[in-house]
Parts: sequence; C-alpha cells; structure tokens
Amino acid sequence: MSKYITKRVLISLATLVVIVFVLFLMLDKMPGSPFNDEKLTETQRALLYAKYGLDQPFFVRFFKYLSAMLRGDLGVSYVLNKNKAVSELVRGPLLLSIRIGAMAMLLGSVLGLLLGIAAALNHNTWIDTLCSFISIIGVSVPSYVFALLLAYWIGFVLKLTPILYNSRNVAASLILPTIALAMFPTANVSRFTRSEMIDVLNSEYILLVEAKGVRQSSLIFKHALRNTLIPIITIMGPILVNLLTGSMVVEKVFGIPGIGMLMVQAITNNDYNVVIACAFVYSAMYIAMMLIVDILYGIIDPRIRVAKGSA
Amino acid sequence: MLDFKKPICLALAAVMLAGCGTDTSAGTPAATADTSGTAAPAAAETPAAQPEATSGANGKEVIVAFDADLNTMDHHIATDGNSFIMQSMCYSGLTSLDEAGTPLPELAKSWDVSEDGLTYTFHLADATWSNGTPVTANDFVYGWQRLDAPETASEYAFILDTIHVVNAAEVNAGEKPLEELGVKAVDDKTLEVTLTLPCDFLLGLMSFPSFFPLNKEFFESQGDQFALSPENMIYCGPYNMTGWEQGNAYTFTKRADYFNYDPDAVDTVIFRFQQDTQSALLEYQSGNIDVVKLQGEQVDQYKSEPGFTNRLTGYMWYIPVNMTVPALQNLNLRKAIHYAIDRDTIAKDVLMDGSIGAEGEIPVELATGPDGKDFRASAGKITEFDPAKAAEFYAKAKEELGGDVTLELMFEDSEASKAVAEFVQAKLKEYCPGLEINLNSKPKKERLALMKEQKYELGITRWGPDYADPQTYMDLFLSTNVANNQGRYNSAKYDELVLKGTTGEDATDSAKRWADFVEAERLMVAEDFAIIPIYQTGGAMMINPDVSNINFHSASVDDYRHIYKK
Repeated sequence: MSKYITKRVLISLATLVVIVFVLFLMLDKMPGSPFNDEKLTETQRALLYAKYGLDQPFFVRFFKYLSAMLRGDLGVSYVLNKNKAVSELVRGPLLLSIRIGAMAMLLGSVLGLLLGIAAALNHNTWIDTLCSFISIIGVSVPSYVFALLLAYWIGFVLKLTPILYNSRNVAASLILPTIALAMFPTANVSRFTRSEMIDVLNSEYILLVEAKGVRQSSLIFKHALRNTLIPIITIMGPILVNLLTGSMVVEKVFGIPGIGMLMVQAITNNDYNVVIACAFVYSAMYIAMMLIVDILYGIIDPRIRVAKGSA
Repeated sequence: MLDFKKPICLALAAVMLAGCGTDTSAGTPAATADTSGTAAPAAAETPAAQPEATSGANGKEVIVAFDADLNTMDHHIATDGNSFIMQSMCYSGLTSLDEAGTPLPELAKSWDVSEDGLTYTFHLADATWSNGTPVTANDFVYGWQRLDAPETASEYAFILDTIHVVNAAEVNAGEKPLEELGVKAVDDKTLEVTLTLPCDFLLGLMSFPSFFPLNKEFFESQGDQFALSPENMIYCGPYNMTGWEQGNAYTFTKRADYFNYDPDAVDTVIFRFQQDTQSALLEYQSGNIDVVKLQGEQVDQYKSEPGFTNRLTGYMWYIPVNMTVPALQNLNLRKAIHYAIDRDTIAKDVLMDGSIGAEGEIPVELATGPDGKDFRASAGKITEFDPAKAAEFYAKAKEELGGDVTLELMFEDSEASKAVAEFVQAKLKEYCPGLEINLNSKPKKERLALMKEQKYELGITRWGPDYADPQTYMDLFLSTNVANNQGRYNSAKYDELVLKGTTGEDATDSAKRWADFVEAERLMVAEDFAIIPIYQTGGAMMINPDVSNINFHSASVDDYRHIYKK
C-alpha cells in the first residue's frame, strides 16, 4: 500500500513541476507584458524589466522562480497591490474560496444524497420525477444563471440576504454563492445516488436482507446506502473541477474576493506571478483531489491497488 | 410497501429542512471565525490607524462601486485612475481643484510666480502627517526626487518634464544627480520650483498624485513594505485609509486632525470593487451602494431615474488616417470620410452610453483658456456630417485616383469599438457609392502595436489626457512624435504652430498660445483632414440623490474628498 501511495504522490509532484513550466512558457509567449501601457516609453519599460528581472533569459527566470518557490517565495505582484508578496496576496482569497467550495460541496452532497435516495425509494412516482427534474435543471443550467436568479429573487426582491460580499457580514453574504455553487454537486450526486440505489435495491443481497426481516431504516442506511456510496467517490473529481471553474463566475457575480476573481484580474492585467500562483493553486487542488480519490480507491478496492502499483 | 414510504418521505423532508438549517447555522460559527481571518486585518487596522475619537463626527458613510480594482497606494508608481482617486483621499497636493477644475490652495496656502513664469514659490500651510509630524517643503522635494529617480522606474516620471521642471529629463535618464532637479526647500514651509519654460497648467497639476509629498523618515523605515497595507502608510490628506481588503473593499475614515477639516463631509467613504455591474446595480437599488457605473443598455434603462448622472471623460476616439498609404494621401478621399461620419448618431444610437459626438480633436470640458472659456467654445465645432459633401468629395477622389477605392478599417475587439466600426463601414459605403471598407478586428494591445508601425489604413484609436491642457493632445501629432503619431501626419505648419505654443515664442503668452492651438487643431482636422475625430466617451452612473459634491474632472482625478450626504 505504501509503495502505491508513494508512487502516486511522486507522480503528482512531477505533474505540478510540469504545470509550472507550462504556465511559465505560456505567459512568456503571450503577447503583451505587465508593463505595456500605451504611454510607457521604451526606456521606462527597460527600467521596469530590469527592476523585476524580466530582462533575463527564460530558463534563468524559470529556475530562479522554481527555487524561490521551494522556499515559499512566489515573487511579488506587478499590478494588483503592486510589489506585494504574492504568497500573502493569495492567502486570503484562497481561504475564502476553499471555504465557499467546501460549504457548497457539503451542501451539494447532503442534498444530492437525500434527493437521490428519495427518488430511488419512490422509483417511478411523482417524487422520482420531481427529483429528476431538479437534478436535470442543476446539471444543465450554468451556475452564473443561478447566481443571477438568486441575487435577483432572494437578495433584491425578498431582501433575505445581501447581494454582494460584505466583510462585515460574511456569514450572510456567503449563503447565496454557496447555494449557487451547490446546484451542480446536488444534481450530480442525486442522479448518481438514484441510479446506484435502484441497482442496489434490486440486488439479491438486499432481497436476502429483506427476507431476514431487517428494519427498513437499517436496510436503507446500513446496507443499501453503504454500497451506493462507494461509486459516488468517482464523481467527486469532476464535481470539484466544476466547483473550481464555477467559482470564478459566481465570485464575479457576488463580488467575492476569492481566488477565482483574483486569477481573472491577474490574467487581464498580465500580472505574471499572480497568474502563476493562482493557476498553480488550482492545479494543486485538483491534483490533490485526484490523489485522494486514487488512494481511497486503493483502500476500498484492493484490485486497483495491485494493478496500478505493479504497473 | 406503502406503509413505510410515507414516514420515510416525511423523515426525508425533515432531514432536508434540517440539512438546510444546519448549513446556515454551520455557516455562522465559521463566519465568526472568518471575521478573525479575512476581515480581521481590516478590523484590526481600524483602531491603529484611526485618530482618537472625532469631535463632530456625523457617522455618515458613502459606498462607491468601482469596476476596476485598486492597484497600488504608492502614488509614485501608480498609473490607473482608481488608484489615483484613492490616493487623493488620504494624501493632498499643493493645490486642489474646485468643481470647475480651477486650482485652490490646499497644502500650499499661497504661492508666488516670478514674472518670467519660471519660478514658483509655494508657501505651505500648517498641515501634519497622520503621525503628528509637520508636512514640510522637504517632503515635497523628497517625493519629487523619488518620482524622477531612475530606480523608481515610475511610469509617470515624464510629467515632471511635461511641466518643464529644470533637469527633470536628465535626472530621469540618470545623467544628473537627484539634487539637480529643479525643486528646492527654501525653508521648512517654503518650496521653490524652477522651470525651463513657463507652464500654464502647473498649478492644476499640483493636485495630481504624482506630485504629492513623501515623508522620508517614514518611507525609509518601511523598506519594501511601503504602502502595501494601511499600517505601512502615513497620510497627509483629509482621510486615513483604514481598511484594505484586496479585491473587495477599501475604507477611508475622516481625519479629525486634518488642517482643512470639513465637518460636513461624510465620515467614511468605502470604495467597493465590483466587476459585475448587474449585481452592483441591484445593490444600488437596494440602497446598499451610493454610486455605481452604468454600462451599455443600462444607460437607456435608467436615464430618466432620479440619481442618473452623466459625466464626460477626457477620452477622445478618433481615426488617425495613415498618411503613408498612397490612396489616403488624396485629400478628397479623406474629406469624403470625414463628412460621411454621423458622429451624433454614433453617440446617441450606437453607443447609447452617454458619449457625445466629437466636435473636434480636443474634448469638451478638458481645458479652460485664458479667457475663461472652454477650449471647444473657443475653437467651435470643426467636424461636420454632410452626406452630400461626402458623395461629392468621393466622386472627385475617384476621378483623381482613377477608380473605386478599397480600404481596411482596424478596430479593437471591444463591443463599443466593434459597433462603431460597423456603423462607420455601413455609412461610408452608403454615402460614398463605390467605396469598399473591410473591417479588421484585433485585440487592443495588438491593434496598438500595429498602428504604431503604420500597419493599417484606417484605424479607430483613443487617447486620454494626462493634464487639463490641449497640449496633451497637440503633442501627439507632431511629425517628430514617432510613438504616438500613428498616421504619420506631417505638416510643417502644424508643427510650427504647436511648438510656438508649447516651447516657442508664444509659450509665455497664454492668449497667443491658446490661439495657436485653436489654429493647429483646425488645420489638422478641418483643412488637412488627417485626424478624423469620432466621439468623446461618456461615463453614465447612478448617484444616490442624497449624496452630493462628488467632483468629476475629465483630465484629472475625480474628487471624492468632500462628499455630503443628507
């Protein structure tokens, strides 16, 4: 097992290094620079390039960046909060985004499970139809549409919550974004739970359990749900990716100073170091999630561990 | 089976409701934790940076939504409008501008100008920095030297040379030491600025952040952390910065110990970064934001509501005809293009965002002349829309050029530019039968680069003024200005007129200088038809009707320092 995990971790780390290199290369080849204001003279530009070391060759810059990165130094920002250490600039937004993402994931999983179970237990009734309807809407309507609808109806018309993020009232300001982001996980988890649950409920061992006269609640939660949950882990990866990309739009609508908004700002401004840091954080989160899913798989299903470990 | 379905459904419903409930309540403790996380720096900063309880505090607060984020609070490296606005909240200059843009005393209580216009002596008021030390002439000298120092690499260092400060260019190029810059502290309260040429707009520019003072002792104590957060700044303006939440909100709290304390101005001004104008507008309508920008169709929708305000910006959009293209060297062809463009319709029906059709290359409300009149009032309307003339001149051009012409119109891929380009294309085709116009859309940075190298025929570009004087536009079209004269307009007469007014014999005579500029603009736009002005950008916004006294300056920094609220 430890051999398998070590291997997975090493592959993940190597992937991250490659990602940093690709990011660096892409930013280098992208037209424009952080300092391309139409009013800037050539002399001024040269001064700025020299000041930030951008006049050095590509590989020199890359290895300098990489070695600094290992020491936790992500360079300074060129545009947003100019000259601020990027590691500091990224920390607050990252924590906020993780918090909203985790809340959305939690809300989405719980709601999704409940909807899925309700649908499966009431297979082919109006409850099933209703749950399917909700999940189809959730999958097909993009999160920014939800975000705007929520902002309009709940924030503006009913005035139940603030529309824009407000640091004086963080709890209330995070309600709408969390709900908007939770739609996709809810829909996916519920669809998956429903179909898995129907399969499981039709399986022979459930028939056996039923025949043994086990109580209904115990049957569902102890026997059926347990076996339903395992395959659901497989969709956690895609859901996380959706949360990451969805967060950029949702953060923009609700004015949340999260990592998604920071990244969009940084890209528009060619703020190299901030772009790399944000993109790196996104990649790292994604890879970490994949790693966890892989390891969980290994723990749950020994066949995977053996096959992949020896491959 | 039916037996257990009902209770389960009920139970599920209960669990779902409880789930929602749990989430909300789960949000609350986490949120409390957040107050000590994300929001805590702001909260913690407040007691530190705020002076002792203000006497006569009115408890009023104004929230202004911005659609671009704060870049820096370091006024010597700032380049963007919003950073300048926020710096102006907590720093002051020698002068400040009134509603009409006329310079008023601020940190300088008075000044003398030598007869030749080359020496300005400022007498400073008894202002203090927020740490209690007095604002001295040395703070200005130190600030200006830092602005000009090559190692600062300030993008606005050029502005010292624009007002002709002695040795500004040489110091910036590293050819002379900082001490030789033409700014001296005669004593603690007297600042002397020496120029190589008189400058009519110097006093107005003294309200611009690049010219703000810098406290040497404090600056040096901060090392590379200067101005990165409110704790790393001290202030000499009417407000202290008390909250900096990057990407979200920037809070300014009125200083009770400011020498020019305004008891009626609101206690707190919060600049709120919100990129999505739709939700910002909803928040405005809910009464949670006092000032918000309008975009595109929103303008049409809200223009009759109370609180609708349209301010003009100093941005002028125009077509610098590429004079190196053989066909475009034909005067009649350029005339036809000039007359075929319906500028008012572009502003009113195509853009619909509060923009106005251009009457000339110099925007309206940019600069006031020695006679107290706006430049546009003195120069009059020199653009004209006349389809009959367009057709007539095109027919002549066709004859001279020996056939129909096909031209390419370059524009940047923004919605507004695209709409304008399509309209211009359609009208040129309509009014100049036979003229073919192909559109070429490019990203902004690429368009700028291509136009700089004359790799275009017709192109839509813009310029924003650096200071409230026609010179900020006039300089662009000098034959020697390779960086900005995109169309390579080359007129000895134009050069002569402009140079006479900026550095030549008329530079010392405001009235003659003005007349030179009026004539130069007419020559370029309505005689040579080398520059085809299109429109001046508007900035439509909603301002809470209870809020007053925000002063917009099209060629300088908007003033939020004296906001009143009912």
